[in-house]
Amino acid sequence: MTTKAVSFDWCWDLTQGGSVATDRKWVLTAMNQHGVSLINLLWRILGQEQDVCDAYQETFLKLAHCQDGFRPRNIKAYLFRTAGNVAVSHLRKKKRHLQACQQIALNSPTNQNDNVPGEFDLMELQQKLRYQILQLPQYLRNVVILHDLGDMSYQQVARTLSISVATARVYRCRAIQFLAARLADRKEK
Amino acid sequence: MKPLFLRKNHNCKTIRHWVGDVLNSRLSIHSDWIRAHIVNCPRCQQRLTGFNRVALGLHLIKTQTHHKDLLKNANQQTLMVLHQSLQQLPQAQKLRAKQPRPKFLNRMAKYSKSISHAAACFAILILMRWGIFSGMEKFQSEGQKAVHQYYVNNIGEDLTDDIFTA
Repeated sequence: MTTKAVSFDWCWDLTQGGSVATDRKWVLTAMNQHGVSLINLLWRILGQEQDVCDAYQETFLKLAHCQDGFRPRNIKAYLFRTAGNVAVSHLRKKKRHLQACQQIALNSPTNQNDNVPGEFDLMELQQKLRYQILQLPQYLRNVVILHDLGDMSYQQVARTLSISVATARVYRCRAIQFLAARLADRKEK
Repeated sequence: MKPLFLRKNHNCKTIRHWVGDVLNSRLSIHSDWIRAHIVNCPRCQQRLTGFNRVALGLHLIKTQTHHKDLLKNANQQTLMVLHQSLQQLPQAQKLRAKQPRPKFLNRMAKYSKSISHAAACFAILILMRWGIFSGMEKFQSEGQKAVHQYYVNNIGEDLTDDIFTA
């Protein structure tokens, strides 16, 4: 949000000259070119509109300030990797907040569990999957985020992460196995 | 050496590794040896359930739609913290009102059947036209040759040439 950006001193100094507009016009071009796919990626990771807006803002602020304002060589790769990392950290914070709330609710005497045991809740499944993606090691998580949530092909994933296509396939396969094992275990418990 | 899937002693661990391939349709779950094992093996059943849950979860995440103004709102929120001179550019004004539009190919997807039918008809027309005309030319030249040969046999080559060149 705006206030957060100001408090972190990420805003550009308003006293700078007007040449900034011409120097950093590429930020707007990147926003125009990759905005839609970034929003889709962030939406799939976060699932909350305000979180998506915050992560989107943070991603573009990082882009505008990377390498002292110089344009990165591969903007798309930079944007998608940054957006993935930002979204993951948002989701972690949210998870911690949720755990704290649950702890408070457990301690409260009026706690009542409305969930029917064994009920197949699709929203819960999505949320569980999101949290399990968080648990993946970073090299596996990046592939799942870019390939499965960012709709990138293996070739694009490989180019973005600077790995080979075969490695991207192997990582994705391992990640899915990991997620399957974790989701299966969770349900049994 | 027999291929791996034909061996009798499929161990549980191997099949559990193949469960992902089953779901990716590289192997068929209708294969007797896979089905027979999974029916009797709780660990493989659990793994299969896990893969199904992941596939379902990813599908649900992908199909869940967001509000159409999300891009516009996100752009507005981001532009607010960029440099003021950037905010005043015409490109920024466009971004503030931008809404996601389906890609050209996606928009044309609903017409794909009609387009493919029209293309097929056009191709058939071209082939027919080409086939008929080339066939006609061939037929004409063959006929001319036959008539020429008939005259050569009956009135001689010199007279035939005179007739045909005239």
